[in-house]
Amino acid sequence: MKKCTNVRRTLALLMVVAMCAVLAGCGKEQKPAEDSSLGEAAAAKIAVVFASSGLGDKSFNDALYSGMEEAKSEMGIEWVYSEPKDDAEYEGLISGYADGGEYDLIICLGGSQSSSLENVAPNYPEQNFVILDAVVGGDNIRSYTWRDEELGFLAGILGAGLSASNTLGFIGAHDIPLCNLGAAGMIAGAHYVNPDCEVLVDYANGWAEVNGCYEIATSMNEQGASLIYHTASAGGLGILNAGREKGFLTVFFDGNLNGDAPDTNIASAIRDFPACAKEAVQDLIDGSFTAGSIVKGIAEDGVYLDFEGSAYEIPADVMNMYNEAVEAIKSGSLVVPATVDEAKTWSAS
Amino acid sequence: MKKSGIRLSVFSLILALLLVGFTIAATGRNPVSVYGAILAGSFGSVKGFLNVLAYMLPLVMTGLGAAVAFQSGVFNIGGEGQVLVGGLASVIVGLLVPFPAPWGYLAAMTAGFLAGAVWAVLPTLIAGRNLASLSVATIMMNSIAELLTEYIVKQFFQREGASNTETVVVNDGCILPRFFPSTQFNYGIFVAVISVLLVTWLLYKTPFGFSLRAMGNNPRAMEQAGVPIYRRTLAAMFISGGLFALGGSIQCLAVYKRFVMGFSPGYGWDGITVATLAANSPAGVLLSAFLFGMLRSASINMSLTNQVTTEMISVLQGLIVILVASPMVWTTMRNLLDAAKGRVSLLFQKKAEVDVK
Repeated sequence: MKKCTNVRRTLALLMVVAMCAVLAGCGKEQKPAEDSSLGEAAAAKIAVVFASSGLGDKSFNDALYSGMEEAKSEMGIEWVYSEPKDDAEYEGLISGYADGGEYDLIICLGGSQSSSLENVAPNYPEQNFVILDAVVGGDNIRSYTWRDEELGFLAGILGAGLSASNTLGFIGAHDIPLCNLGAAGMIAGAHYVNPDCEVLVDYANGWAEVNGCYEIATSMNEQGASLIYHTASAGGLGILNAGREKGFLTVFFDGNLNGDAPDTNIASAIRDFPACAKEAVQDLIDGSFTAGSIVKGIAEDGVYLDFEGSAYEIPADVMNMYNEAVEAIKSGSLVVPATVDEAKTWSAS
Repeated sequence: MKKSGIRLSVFSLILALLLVGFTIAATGRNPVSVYGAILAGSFGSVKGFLNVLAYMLPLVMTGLGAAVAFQSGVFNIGGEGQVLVGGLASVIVGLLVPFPAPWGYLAAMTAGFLAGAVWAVLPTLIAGRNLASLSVATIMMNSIAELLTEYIVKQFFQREGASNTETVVVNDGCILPRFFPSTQFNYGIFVAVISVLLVTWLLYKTPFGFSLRAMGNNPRAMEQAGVPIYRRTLAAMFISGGLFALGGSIQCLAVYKRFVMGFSPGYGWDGITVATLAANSPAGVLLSAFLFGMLRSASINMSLTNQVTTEMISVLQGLIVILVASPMVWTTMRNLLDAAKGRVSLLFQKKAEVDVK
């Protein structure tokens, strides 16, 4: 009796699958092959796999999107993209684009794609890849990373220059080397202006801890921090809001949100994702695309502080110090330390 | 009871496909060609089919885990936590143990199984088999697992220079091999098939399994009959947690070769759905996990070809869950059908009477 029901159960499920198949079989031929109207003329075909945080984040996904749209109109490329729902989709998407062999370049956004790209890239030696914000080795991969410590340095200069309390705050997403680049830079920058300036450092322990960052920023402000900088990813929105509501200064990281708190957010730290993507595309068109790791800093115009949209007036003497430091970093006479331990004993020589 | 379970699943599946079909049609696409594309993506090429199998693997394990728990009447919804803990335990062993190929990954998976089993037994020890207490306790264990694994990785195993939370690659001998490097399909299939066979044997061919299932049907009667319910509950949770954990182990050891924060898009939760759709039968889990693997693969194919927004796949999954979890829809439909049948037959009767006259 039991055997009988088991067989019937299995049969029933099989029939469902079969029915689906029949249903689908009735349909017309699917997938009208690619619109080739543009395909012939396109200078290059690019595929982009966004980070699973998705478009609409006002931060790096959106920045890359607009960069690719610019590349489309300026260089006449054609580009397609996909927005993964979760991190487990990365590998399928990257290898899916590589399978067809029709894309000249596949751009992967975000460090969380690094292990997936590492799995896929060796299987497609002829395919070029670019990964933004992580270093992945391979003969066909170009990696872009940024000197986040230089941005922290500039934020530290502004903070120390403007501070009456001689106390600043820094919030990282996690206590990991990548997030601490910003902390190291900020400590060094603060000491560059005023050796007695203290930087409070804390971590949100999450990439999108908006509420957590709000709380940490508020309590830092109560401890005297007059300006708070961060590398807390999406959590930075909480710091921005706390600054606007409690009236302390902030520098936002990754994307220009000066307009959201024009009176308290004095600048936004920008890592130029779109420029790197465009550079890679241009190199590809010119035939000069090479694999390897590229690090962008102030000298390469890869990172900068964006003041546009902020209504806060920075005094001229602070701006002078800031501009001096930018020039010194550009010329190579000033090298910003990349770890907190170095930063604590660092002094500009 | 079993028969109605399978009927409910089939009915829910068809109804969900129809409803989503209407939704797709409402967005101006042809639902038949969309479903056709899903099938073509899954069966149209060898690689596509292997991908479906690969996406199926973790779901088979978590589905089995849920099925064992539900058949024993134990509400283990801590699957997600067990997946994470299992994955991490496997990777830690994979990082520390220098064994050669088969022994390395076997040791790593064993560690994963045990870690998940312990992670499931812990809340049971404190909560007992009371439905509400155990649900709450296991759910809480999910959050603990998520934060604990993150903490352990960051504190002890964080890869230098990585911008996300992840470990380095495990030792060569501990990597669960892929059949072809270009698809994620891997040796985990052996684990999955053996697990299905073992669980089937355990539940249906052994006195122990019988007592588990009987406990699921009527724990009081079993208690009266002298079966130690508390110990059986612990045993059920042990097996269930271990199976959930193996899903995580397979993903970590074969797909990522390391522990990556966020590697599980909710395999533990999907396992519950898979088991429910399979009416908690181990063989059925294989089929329903395959279906969910197809949907996952379809979601990826759709975002590659920009055909339909991939959210439609989530809608489809969600609808299946809602419909399977809402047997009243089925009952009501059947009653309506019966009523309609009754009316028709009444009509025929009347007609026959008229004819006779």
